[in-house]
Parts: sequence; C-alpha cells; structure tokens
Amino acid sequence: MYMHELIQIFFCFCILLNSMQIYAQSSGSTISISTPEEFYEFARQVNKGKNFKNKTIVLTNDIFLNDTTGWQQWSNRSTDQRLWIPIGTMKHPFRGTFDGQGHTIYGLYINREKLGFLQGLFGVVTEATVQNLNIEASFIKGFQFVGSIVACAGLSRFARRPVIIRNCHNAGTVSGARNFVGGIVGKTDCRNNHATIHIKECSNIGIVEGKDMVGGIVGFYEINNSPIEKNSIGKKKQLPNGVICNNFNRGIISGSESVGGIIGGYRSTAHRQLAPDTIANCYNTGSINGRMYIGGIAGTIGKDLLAYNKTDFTEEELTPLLLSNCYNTGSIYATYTTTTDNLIGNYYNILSSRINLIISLTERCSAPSYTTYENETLTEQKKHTFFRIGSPRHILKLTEEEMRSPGFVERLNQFSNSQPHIFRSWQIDTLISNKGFPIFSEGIEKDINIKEKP
Amino acid sequence: MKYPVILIMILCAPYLAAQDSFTGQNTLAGRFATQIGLYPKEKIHLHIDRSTYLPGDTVWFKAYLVHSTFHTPLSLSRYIYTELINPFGETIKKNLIRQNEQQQLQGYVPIPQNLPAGNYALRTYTRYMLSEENPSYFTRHIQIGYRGEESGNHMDFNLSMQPMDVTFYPEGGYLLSGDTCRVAFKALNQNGSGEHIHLTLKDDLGNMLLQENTFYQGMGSFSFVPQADRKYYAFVTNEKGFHQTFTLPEIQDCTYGITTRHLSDRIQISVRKARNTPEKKLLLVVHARGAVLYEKWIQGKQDLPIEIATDFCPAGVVQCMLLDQQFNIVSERLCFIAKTSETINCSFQTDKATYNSREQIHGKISLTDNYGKPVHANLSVAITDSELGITDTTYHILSTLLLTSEIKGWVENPEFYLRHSCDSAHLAADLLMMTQGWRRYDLAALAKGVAEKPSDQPEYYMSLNGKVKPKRKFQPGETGIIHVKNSELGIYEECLTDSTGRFQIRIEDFPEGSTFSFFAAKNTLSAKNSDKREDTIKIEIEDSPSPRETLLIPQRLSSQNQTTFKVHPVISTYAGNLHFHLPEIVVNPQWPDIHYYQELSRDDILNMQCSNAWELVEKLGVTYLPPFTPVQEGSISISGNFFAGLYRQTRLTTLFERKSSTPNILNFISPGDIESIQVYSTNRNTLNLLMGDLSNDPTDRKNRVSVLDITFIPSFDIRQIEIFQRWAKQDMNIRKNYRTEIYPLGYQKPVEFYSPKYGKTTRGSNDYPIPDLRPTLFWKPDLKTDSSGLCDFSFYSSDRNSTYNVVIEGITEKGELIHKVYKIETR
Repeated sequence: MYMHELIQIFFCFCILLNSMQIYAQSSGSTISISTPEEFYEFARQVNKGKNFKNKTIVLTNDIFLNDTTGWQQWSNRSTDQRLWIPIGTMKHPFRGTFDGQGHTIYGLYINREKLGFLQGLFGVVTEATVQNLNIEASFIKGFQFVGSIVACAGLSRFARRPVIIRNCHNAGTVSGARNFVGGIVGKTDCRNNHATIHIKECSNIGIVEGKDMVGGIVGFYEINNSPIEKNSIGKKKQLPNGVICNNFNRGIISGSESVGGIIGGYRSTAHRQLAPDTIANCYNTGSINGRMYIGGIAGTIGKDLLAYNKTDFTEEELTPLLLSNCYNTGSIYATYTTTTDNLIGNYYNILSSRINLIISLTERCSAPSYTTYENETLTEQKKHTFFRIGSPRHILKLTEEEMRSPGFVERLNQFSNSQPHIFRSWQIDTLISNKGFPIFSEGIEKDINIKEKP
Repeated sequence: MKYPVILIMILCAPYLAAQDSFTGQNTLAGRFATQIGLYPKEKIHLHIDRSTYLPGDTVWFKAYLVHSTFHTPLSLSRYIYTELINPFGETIKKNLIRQNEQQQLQGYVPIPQNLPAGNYALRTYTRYMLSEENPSYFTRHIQIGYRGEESGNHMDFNLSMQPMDVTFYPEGGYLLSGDTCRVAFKALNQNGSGEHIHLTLKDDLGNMLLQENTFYQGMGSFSFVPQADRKYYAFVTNEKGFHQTFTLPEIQDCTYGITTRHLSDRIQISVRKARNTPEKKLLLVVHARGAVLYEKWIQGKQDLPIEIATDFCPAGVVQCMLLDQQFNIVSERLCFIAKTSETINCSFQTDKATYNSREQIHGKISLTDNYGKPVHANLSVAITDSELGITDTTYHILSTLLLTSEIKGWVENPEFYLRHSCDSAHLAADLLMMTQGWRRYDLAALAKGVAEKPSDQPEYYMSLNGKVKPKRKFQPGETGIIHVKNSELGIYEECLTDSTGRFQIRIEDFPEGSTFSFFAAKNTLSAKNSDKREDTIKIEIEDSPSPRETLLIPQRLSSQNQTTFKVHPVISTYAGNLHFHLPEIVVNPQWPDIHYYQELSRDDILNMQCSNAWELVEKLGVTYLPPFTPVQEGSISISGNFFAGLYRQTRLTTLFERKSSTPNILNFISPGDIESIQVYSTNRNTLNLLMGDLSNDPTDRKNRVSVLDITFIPSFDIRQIEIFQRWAKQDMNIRKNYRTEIYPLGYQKPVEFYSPKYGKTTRGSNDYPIPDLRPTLFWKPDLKTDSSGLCDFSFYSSDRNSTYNVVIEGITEKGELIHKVYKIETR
C-alpha cells in the first residue's frame, strides 16, 4: 500500500514537472518537447484553453506514444494501448506553430469508432502551422472527421492567417466509420475571406478507410470564401483560395462515395474575386476503391457558382480551378461507372447544367495532367444519372511505360521549373520506390521505414 | 457372399431403373425389383458429435443420405432439412444443408442461449421424402441441460396420472380362435414414452386368464387360446396405481396368421389358421427393405415350418407376408436380424498409448474387408470426453438404417435392440417388431401389380414458388408478371405466372439470410408502360417444406426433472470455457446529447422479417403521419403536404446513405437492401455535425430533432436513390408498398469445427489462466479413406485427465455400414 502511494506521488510529481517545464518555456516564443509525457501535457494544456498563438512548439526527439510491437494488428480488441486525446477541440483549437523538425511520432493510438468526432494527432487547428512531422506505426480510428495529423483545419470566422500543413507524412492506418477521412487532414473548414488552408509537400503511404469524402491527403477540402459585398465583383483585390500542391499518395484508399488519392472531395466557390484554386504537382500511385466518384487525384471536385442569387455567370466572372501537372498510375476500382477519367471521379455543381462551364474553365487555365488507362477498370464513359460530362481535355492519357520514361519526368519538370519556389521538381525513380514512376527530387520523399520499438 | 439377393439386386439396379412398368414381371420378386428401380427411396442418418448440450453450444452433424434398400450413398436430393424441435413439438430452428463439392452433407445447429432445458429432438428429411406416403425421417433425441446453478429454466411436464394408451398386437395380425395366440402389447403414457404396467387378462365372464408385466419400454407379450364366442379384456395398472381397462381385438374364426420363431441361426416361419378356416393356396414372401429373399406358394402344412438361415438375410428388419391367390395380404410379421459378424474391419490407432494435456494426438483409421482388401468409405469422427457422459451411444448409423428407419413410430433407445449378445435385447427386439409396422412401399398394391410412382421430383435446385392474388381474377389471356431481386447476390429475375397466378422461379443457390424482394403486376399492356406500380398485386410465397405430423417427444415426468436435467458438474464448468465463441460487444455511440438510441444491424433486420421498409422503421418506434395531419410537436403545431416523420415526439430527419431525403423513398426500398439502421433523438447541432457541418451554433443546441439513418449494403446500387428521389417527389403524399420482401430458407454456409492448436509446452494443466475443458475435442465429418483404406487426422487433448471416446461412423461405396467406438487415455 505504501509503495503504491509512493508511485502515485512520483507520477503526479512528473506531471507537475512537465507542466512547469512547458509553462516555463511558454513564456518564450519556442517550446521544446522531447518526451511522451511532455507531449501529453502539451495536448492537455491546449484542450484546457491555452491556444499557443504566436508560439512555436518544436519536437526535439522522436516520440513513442505506445509500444509499437505488432501495431498492424491493433484493432478493436487492443485495450492495453494508451489512447491519444487529440490536441485542440472546436472550443479550444490550437493556434500556434508546431514544427516536428523531421521527427516522427510512433504508436499514436486512437480507437473511437462510435464516439470519435475530430480524431487525429491534432483535433482542431486554426491559424496554425503544422510542419515537418511524420506519423508511423500508428492506428487512428474515429467516427467522423479523422486525419492522422489534423482532424479539422480552419473554422474561425476571424482568422487572418492561413492554416498551413506542410511536409507531414503518414505511414499509419487511418480509419473512419463515417465521412471526412484523410491520410493527413480529415476536413478543412474555411469560413473566412482572408484566410485559407495550404496543404503542401505531404504524403501518405498508410491505409485510409472511410465512407464518403475519403482522401489520401485530405478527406474533404472546403473553402467557403465568397465576396462580402455585391459591388466587390471585379475589384482588383483577390481573396485567397485553396492550395494543395507537391503531395503524393502511395497507400490504399477505400471508401464509398468521393474517394481520391489526394483529395476525397474538393469544394470552393468560383467567384472572380477569389484567387484560382490550385491543385498541382501531386501524384498518386496507390489503389483507390469505392462505389461512386473515385479518382486518382480527387473523388469529387465541385465549384459553387451561387452568389447573390445570381446564376448566369460568364466565364470572365469566374475564377478557374488550376488542376496542373498531376499524375495518377494507381488502380481505380469503382462499383459504378460515373468516373470521368482516372484523375477526377466527378465534377460537381449545384446547377448541374453549368458543370461544363467549370470543366471548360479548368481545361482552359490548367497545364496538362496525366493518367494511365491500363489500370482503368471503367474506361467507357457512360451516361450519368442526369447529365453527361466529359473529361477536361488537358487530362492526358499515357501508358505506364510512357510515364516511367525520362521524357515524362522532363514534361513534369517543365511545369514545376516555371515556379520553382512553389513547386518541387521531379526525378526518375531509380530505386523503384514508386514502381518506377517519377518522384519528387528535393528530399520531401524521405525514406519512410516503419520502425518497431522493441 | 453374405447377402446374395441384395448383391444381385445391386447389380441389376441400372436395368431395374430403366423399367417403367411391371410388363413381363409375373413373379413378386420381379415386381418388387421393378418398384425399387422405378421409385428409389431415400433414407437418412445423422451422426452428431454428442448427445447432451447446453444453451449456446453447437450440434455438429454429418448426414448420410442412402438408398433405402441397398444403403449405398445416394445423390438424388442435393439438399436436406434439419429441424431442432422443442418438447412441445415446435420447430425452433430449421436449416437447409446443401451437398458440398465432395457430395457430402454436413452442418451444424446452433443452440440458442436462452433455450430452456429439456428433451429436444433433431429431425432431418429431404423434400423428396415428404412426398412419400410413409416418409421415414430421421428423428432423434438430444438433451439440453442448464448451466451451472440455474434450475428454473426447464420445460415442466406432469403426466403421471394421465390416461395411458395400451395397444394390442396379435402375432400375424389376428386373434385366431382355437389356436394358441401370442399377443404383444405396448403401453404409452400421454407423453409418448413407454409406461411400465401390470396387466391382467380376463374374459367376458370375469375369469382371470393370466397376469403379465411389461418387459421393456412399455412393451410386453402374453399367449393364450382365444375362443370364438368370447370377448377379452385387459385390466392394466401403472406404477402410480392408475387403472384402465382395454378390450382386446375381435376373435377371428376364419383366417390365417403367420408366426415366426427366431432361433440362433435361422428364422422359423409357420402359418396358423382359425378353427373354421378352409384350406387355401397361399403365397409366402420374405423380403428385406423391399428386396425379396424368399417366395413360395404353400398349401396345407406339408411345407411348414419354413426355415430361412439368418446368414442368407441382411442385417435389419425382415418382413414375412402371407398373400392369397389374388395377392391380398392375409397376414404379416416383422423379424429383426442383428448380425454378429461384420463385413468391414475398422481399426483405429493412435501414435501413443496415453497423452498429456494439450498434446497433439495423431489418429489413423484403417478399413479392410473380410479378405483384407482396403475399402473406400466416407467417414465421420466424433471425439468426446467420456467422463462427461455426453458421448452419443443411443443412436448410431446401424440403429438408424437397420432399425428405426424401417419401422413406424418412435423407438426409444434403439441401440439396445442391436446388442446381439444380449438375450433381453433379442426379446425386446421381437416385441418391437410385433408392435411396429414396415413403412416403405404399399405392398398390397405392389403385389397386385400397381407400381407406386414418386409424386414429386428430388430437390436438385432451389426455387421460389408462390401465388399472386390480384384484386380481380385474371381475365382470359391475362397472367401475372413477377420481378424478383436480391441486390446482394446480384439476382434479378422475371417470370410469368400461369392463369391461376401460380409461379415457380428457379434461383441459383442462395445462402441463409438471403432475402428476395418481389414485385408483381398484371402482365397486360398497361403493365408494360413505365407506370407498373399502379398494377401492384399481392403475392404469397410457399414456405419451405415441412412434415405435416407434429412430433411428440417423450419427456420425463416433472418429479424427475431435477435429476433428469442435472448436468455433470464439469459440463457446467465447460460452460465457462465458451471463450472460444465470445459474443460481440455492442458499443453505443456517445455523441453529444444523444437519446433513445437504437441500432439495427443487418442480422437484426433479417431476423425481424418485415415485408417492407415502412414496417421495419415503424418497429423502431418511428411514425409517419399522412399529409395535412396537424401534429403537436412540443408547443408547435406542424402539418404539411407530405409525410411527417416523428420519433419520440420530435420531427424526424431521414438520411439515406448519409444524405437527407424525403421518407417516401421507403416506398421503393427493400429491407434486404439495408445494411444498418440507426435512430435517435438529438439536437440540431449534433445533426449538423453528422452532416459534416462544424459551424457549432449554440442556438441549435436547444432545437431537438431525431434522425433515422439508413445505410445500404455494398452491392446496392446507390445511384437508384436519385431515381427514387425523383419518383418520391412526384408522389410526396403516397405511401405504398410496391415491393414485398420474403425471407426464404437458404442453404447453411459451411463452418469449420474449431479445434485449438497448442505449441510445445511443459506446463501443467493448472498453469493456464483459462482451462481447456472442451466436451467435444474433435469433430471431423469429411474423412475419406484412400486407395490403401487409410485416413488420418490429428487434434490436441484438453486440460482434463480423462478417457476420450472416439466414435467412428461411415458408409462404404457398396452400402456397408461402419460404427465403431474406441478410447484414448490422457493423464
């Protein structure tokens, strides 16, 4: 009995010490975390209401949250793993900068299939940056809004800074019983005209499963920015819009509706006052499975035309979607033939009659993107339930052999070298780590080896 | 050559099968043989792993479907039906077993967790058997006990003072005046089991002629010389002192009777006659299972008694018949031949003499004939813990195929009659033969040359049969059109009915739990246009076949219940060992502000057997109010021009595949298309969260809503929802069941018997946190001997130091039966 009490006192002392350390550090602008207990304490403080705005949290070590032996078998019956409580809630989101400095979090274990909204390493982040972080040997299972790094990014109506998720990589299993499940981010929810969400240089090689809106990088990317005043149409000042670039997926992605290798569902408004949406320089070589609207890059891409009850927009009044320099070689298994091409499963608009306007805008402003057709299970374009849509002409079909050739790398680099400060360049996959298809050359594809802590 | 006649008939079988009439068959043997070829009948035996079970256990079985005469494996029917029947004769579980790729029939019966203790029965049959006039189903007892200290959950019977039923069976069928007659009697209580009685025989003058007691299972016999002008009464008293009087059958003054005497190596057959019977030429026929062994015209007593060597007869029931010149049956008598010698040598060997706990045991079975040649056979093996008293010894393949399947009525403890070394068993078997009748072909008609023909074909494929019921009868030239679909199996069939509305749709084999959605309409011009729904008509589907008779299962009396159903303490212990079959743990969601949560899984939905989707959701407490109905929801009155769903007094949002839609879509949905249903009451904020909206408006928290969330099976084409939605919007206020869901009996999906595999260990049995106390250690229903007559298997011993009973049953290609019991020691 005496011994037991001693252990309890010691445990409390450790927590107190960690709290004091983080509290002491938080008076400065940079806070270091090097142990699991510090990491737990950091999560606790955020969820209590400390948002770490203008602070930078850096990882100085790899973190093992659980013993990862046999992590592939973690499932419903695993009860001896320590459950992770996500950092940030809808009420108390994380607002600082989290820099993993290339370190890895191992053994992240979440198993809340029936009661877990907003499950991930971070639950909710606003005006935050999460970068240079890896997740490996981890099992994340929630109900809705599930992502390995961030479950939900965005939310605040008063945000002035974008949310940036950069250079984050997942090699764990991400699973959701319902919708909005992503390998990196579950859902973005931007409600502010002055901020957006950037997801860049991220990758997923783990299994991602869910129902609707399931993506290798982001489950549902939604930007609700729209002009505030009617007379702002045509003004020079542009409002930010979505940016997803330099990402790749090699994992198996499964869902029901709107399932994509990079993005499950993408939705933004197409008003001219907004900057163009950018989905560029991404690739998928993983297998994508689902019932309907399945694509190598995105399951569904939608742009809303509605503003001020006006529906008769001309092309000049609308902002395009830049779908450039992406390629897909992964197998696409769709139960129903509504796939327009292997890159994008479905183009969507509330006004179905205006969908071709979106497609023509996209193909007019975008650089080419590429897809194989050997693995295409549903090549024939069949009639959609209500209307027929065609694939944008800038999406080119190549053979696998062509896509493994140096010439294809050169074509990809022609685009990326035009804006080298934004887009990563490409190189030949000499080590056959990507089945011989082009890979990024500037080190974002760090060799991810799944380690097991003995 | 043990059974020359049977073997000749086996050789002639193909020729016999080609015959379709009795043309040229003047001998009775020829007619019998043609009948067997024309209408081959099936018999069935079920080998089960043990005889006693607890609720939650599984009965593992293998069915041997054989030719009724030759006992050779038969593949006429591809399907068999098994029923678990409770003590009141009600079927509580029915399974359809399909032949597997090796043409074997094996399956299992899961015993429900909440089943009361009692004597239950297993009944097995084919649809083809049901078409027989005297079908020979396989029926046997199983005992279901109760777990641990439970004592109240058993079926209660108190029948000790109820009237008995005593029936008298004179040998040869009649009481012949002036000749010594042997009369067998059988006393049954109201429960159907044999009652021990004391009998006093008196004539109508009150003279006491004799006193007798029952010998075995309520059966006994006595002999006396009846007089033509007298009546005889039996005064019977049971052990409880209950008295009853019965009248013996009428005395016959002018007829013949056949009597037999079973000697050690032969049957002696005599013909007796009443005092005033004239001499007649009679035909004596002896047959076994329809194969004639002996046939001779006799007159007077010069040829009598006739003796038939038992070596000449096959084991089992032999019937002796006396026919007149017009082939009317005058008298008959059954005999039972229990063989002492075996035609197949079956040996079983293990790799060691004794075993430790959790040690691998290798067993090898060898089969040879009497000449030492290897024999090819299908076998099943059950290995059980003998100390638990659960080994199945009362019923085996010999007792079924040689005895119980050949005679009418329920036979208690059939194994006893096959104990050829026991004199009591011989006597009891003779009484059984006198009190039961042979059940196969209609011999009277057969003897006269009228062949029996099957009224139904053997079941070789699955079909859905039924009838449509239009509001007005079909006009000449009109029929019904049936659409049937099963999204899960990808079955979409269409067929026309006949003019009476009957239809049969042949369907590829479907497993249990399959449902079919039917849509029926009149096959007229108007039905061919797009608006078929207006012509929807009612439909009725035939149930799976079932015997007409209610099975009466003999039960022990109430006072004996406590001991009868008291299970061995170790059986109760093994109940704690059911961690091998852990029940699923259901976790309800803990979303914010969720109330009245209910969830139906696919299994739940199928078990509810609702005929349409409206009925299904209403069973969850959801109500749909017709349009323009004022509704009081809290203090707010609402109404509308479409259906308003309510759940727990709050307005219902209906989600189909996670998208909100009008509830009228239920008009077009089949319960079989639904994977799961959730219904709950919550606030608007949580509903927004479920719909993907994270706006978190605090005012929405006070706004109560309820949600009906329907998810479809993966094979359901969700694109249909858009079409349904269009249809539903056209008729916002129409609620109609366009489709009818039916739940036919599908074949049981095969499941392997679970047997644990242990690694090498030196630990003792007490060192394991969870002891292994399996009552059935091993069950292997699909063993086949190879060309050298061998087959082997291996399994692991449990933690109990006990003797294991190894029960081997099987049948060779030639129809020879195998039943052996061996023992394995563990320490």
